[in-house]
Amino acid sequence: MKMISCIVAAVLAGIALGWMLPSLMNPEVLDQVITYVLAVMLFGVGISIGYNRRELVKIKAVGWRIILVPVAIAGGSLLGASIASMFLDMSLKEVLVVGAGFGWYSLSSVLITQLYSAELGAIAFLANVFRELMAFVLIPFLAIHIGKIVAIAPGGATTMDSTLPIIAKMTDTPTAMIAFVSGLILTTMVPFLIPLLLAIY
Amino acid sequence: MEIVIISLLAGCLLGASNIITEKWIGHLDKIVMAIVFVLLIAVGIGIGSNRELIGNLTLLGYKAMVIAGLSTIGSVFALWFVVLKVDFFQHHKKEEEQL
Repeated sequence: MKMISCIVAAVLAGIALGWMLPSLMNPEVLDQVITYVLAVMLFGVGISIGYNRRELVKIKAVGWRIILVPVAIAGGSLLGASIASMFLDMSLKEVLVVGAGFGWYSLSSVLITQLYSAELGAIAFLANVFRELMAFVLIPFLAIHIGKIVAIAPGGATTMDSTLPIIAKMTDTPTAMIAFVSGLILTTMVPFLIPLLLAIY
Repeated sequence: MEIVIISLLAGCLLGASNIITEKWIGHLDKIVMAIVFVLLIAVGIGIGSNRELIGNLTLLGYKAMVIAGLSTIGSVFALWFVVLKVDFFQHHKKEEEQL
């Protein structure tokens, strides 16, 4: 929870800065610089992802059908998000991209702001923060009333870090392990899926 | 767009190689986190400097809520469906029987 408040504080600080100095964002040079900073960050994210292949050995411990967990979570998230385009004044592409954050608000908002628009970036930030907050509430409920494995779903990509402690507390060790691997796979998907979805149309 | 995917893939390759040790990863996570904070401030600046966006923040919040709610519900139902079809702990039970 400490992390989420730091992140919200960073965005609020940026909003205040942009509000006071609206011309700060205008220069195209800054935009270019941010793209390079983004590339450096993704290089770092890539190193973590590549390094994590060692963690994937854990899949063997739980069996290969565990792959179905992140696949179902990803498919269900995108399907759910696509329904949103029927209610909202947003294109299918836009809602899918927001849904494809799987709760990883920092990366998805940064990517979408830079690759698409500040507006969709803001929606992605809020939507994925909401998803993580909902996960904190839903995980205990689902674990008790529906089933341990189903409790992994709302956390999305966050089940390898921020929501893992709650899953571990509300379920058992094998489920926590599945949650970790599922979160790892979803985390790996996000930085690929968002640019791809934005590039497709 | 291309540079983003290319640097991500280059990172993956480097990370998967044996050059990177665990000590490096610890430092790397801190560096990435610091860059993320800088970029989040940039996300904020993008919102704050756009008066139209600021005026629409409640509408954006509403849209975000709808997408977040539907995608979360979608993932829960999809996984629930899969759990009804597949027994994830079968593997473990077999192992226990063997013991």
